[in-house]
Amino acid sequence: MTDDLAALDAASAAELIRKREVSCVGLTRACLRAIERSRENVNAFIAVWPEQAIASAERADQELAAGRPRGALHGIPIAWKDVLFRKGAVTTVGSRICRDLQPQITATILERLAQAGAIFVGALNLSEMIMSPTGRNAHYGDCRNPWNKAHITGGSSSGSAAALAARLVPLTIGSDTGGSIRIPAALCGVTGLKPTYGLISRFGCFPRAWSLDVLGPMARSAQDCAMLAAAIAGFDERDPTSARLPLPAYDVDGAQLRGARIAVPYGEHRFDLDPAVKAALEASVEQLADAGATIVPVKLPSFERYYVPANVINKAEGSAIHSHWLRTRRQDYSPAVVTRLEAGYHIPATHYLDALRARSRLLREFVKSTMNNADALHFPVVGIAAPSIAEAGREDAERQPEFLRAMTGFTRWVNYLGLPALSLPCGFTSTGLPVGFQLVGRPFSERKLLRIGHAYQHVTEWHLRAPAWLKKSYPMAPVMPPSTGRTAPVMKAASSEASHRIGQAISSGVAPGGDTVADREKGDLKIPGLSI
Amino acid sequence: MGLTPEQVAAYAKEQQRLDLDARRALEIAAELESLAAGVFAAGAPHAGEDPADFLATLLELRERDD
Repeated sequence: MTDDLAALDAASAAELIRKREVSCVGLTRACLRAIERSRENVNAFIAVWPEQAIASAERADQELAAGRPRGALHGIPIAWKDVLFRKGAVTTVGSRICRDLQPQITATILERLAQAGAIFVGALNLSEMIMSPTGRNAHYGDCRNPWNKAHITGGSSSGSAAALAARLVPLTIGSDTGGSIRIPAALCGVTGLKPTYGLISRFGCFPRAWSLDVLGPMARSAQDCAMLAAAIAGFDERDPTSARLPLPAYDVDGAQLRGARIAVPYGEHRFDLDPAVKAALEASVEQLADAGATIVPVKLPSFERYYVPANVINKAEGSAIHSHWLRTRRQDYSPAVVTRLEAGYHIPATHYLDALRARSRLLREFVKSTMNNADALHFPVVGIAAPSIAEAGREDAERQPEFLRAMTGFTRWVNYLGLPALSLPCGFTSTGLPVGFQLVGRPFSERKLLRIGHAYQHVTEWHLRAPAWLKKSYPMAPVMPPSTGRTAPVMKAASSEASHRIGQAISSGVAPGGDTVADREKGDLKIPGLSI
Repeated sequence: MGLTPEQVAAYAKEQQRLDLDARRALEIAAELESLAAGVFAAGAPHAGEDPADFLATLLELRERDD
């Protein structure tokens, strides 16, 4: 058993566990070792629970031996953004104020993960009080982008994305109020789903702005996001905004792009995009078309109509949530958070109510016009690649409003309309930083988005790439030769065949393609099902 | 507890931007008045004011095959 296991994707790991070719304890120990090694240079975790995790993994192995697997995530290590309440455990929300907060309830989403058999390994770093798209944190240290540790991860679900990119765990949970799943997913080269408002229970989750907040799955692939979504979605009577509706099976097997209709606004609209980001986005549209999707040009409404009221709601509700602490413990917030919170007290109640009242009407108008003839809207996530930590540090100064808008301008409107959106990696800048795009869908069309995302990842390899420094961490991992082209039609998503080859490779130390360790020293590493 | 000059500057700038946001929000509200008229006529002047109403709209607009 080697630490290579920590780099397994969830679908492959689950299959190997089911076949008893990998033990839950072995997989969990590998993840814990990877987490420990990354502590100083990535800083993705706020808390790690090795004893509890190993004990849970031992129980999971015993249950499997007794023929009693719990569910689809049996034995799979998982970590979550530190905003979820677990009875008896501390939930810091990335803040000094909640450093000792010990909730007396457990979040519904955690109960469902436990029922599905997931192994809880730790709580992940985030922006203080879920309040910045940079992912920086003055209290627990900045989370660093695994692709370049001098750069930010994006936020606020910084640790959730970095832990995946650094191959510390195969699955994480993030939250998204204005882009907090999609932004770090794009800047770290991983996959993240912002679900429809109401699909996933928020009971037991610390709020940022209750009218906009959602929790969602993050992973390295759409397939793994689908697996996680299936475990956590669904009605919860403890969440008054939980949707009561029959859930589809979030299966992605056999998904194809042929027949999918993708609305694309490019050409019609001028977005403020870095040239490298623009090139990667355009290439992703071509890849979707080449693989059979129908591209539907669309004219978009002014996004000011959605961004402005989203901002009003975000600020007003955020300030209301923090009123008491802002009066009594102001000094325990970082200055940037205080600045943002205080702004909310100057929003007239009428504007807040107008913003809420306009919402359903604007949603209806958007779905019936822009989305009328399409399954998904192709859209940027962030117009730039991950800024350096030094650049993002200027967030504290007067540049803050412009910087926040630059970071969230493409994502916040989606939360206002409550729509689902899947962030997918689609390339790299010349300096090796990831670029992503999002597919925005109609209400509760997560299954369709995940299937389109899976089909896109079936013909591309961006989601399989890993930072070069990981080669040293997983020297025995099976790998594929570096890619020579933009697309790789031969690359198939994780499957039973891939898992079989991975199992063989783990035993032999030889890559499925016959590569040796020396071969792996060349360039980025990638293999379906084992993405390091 | 005083604010630093940087905080004051950031705060003032944010206020200026919020004012623009607020004006735009009012414009949006004005645009919606005609739509709202239908809601009032239907006897549901409260529609869309809370998350539960918004959730109902999301459910109404979902595709049945999803």
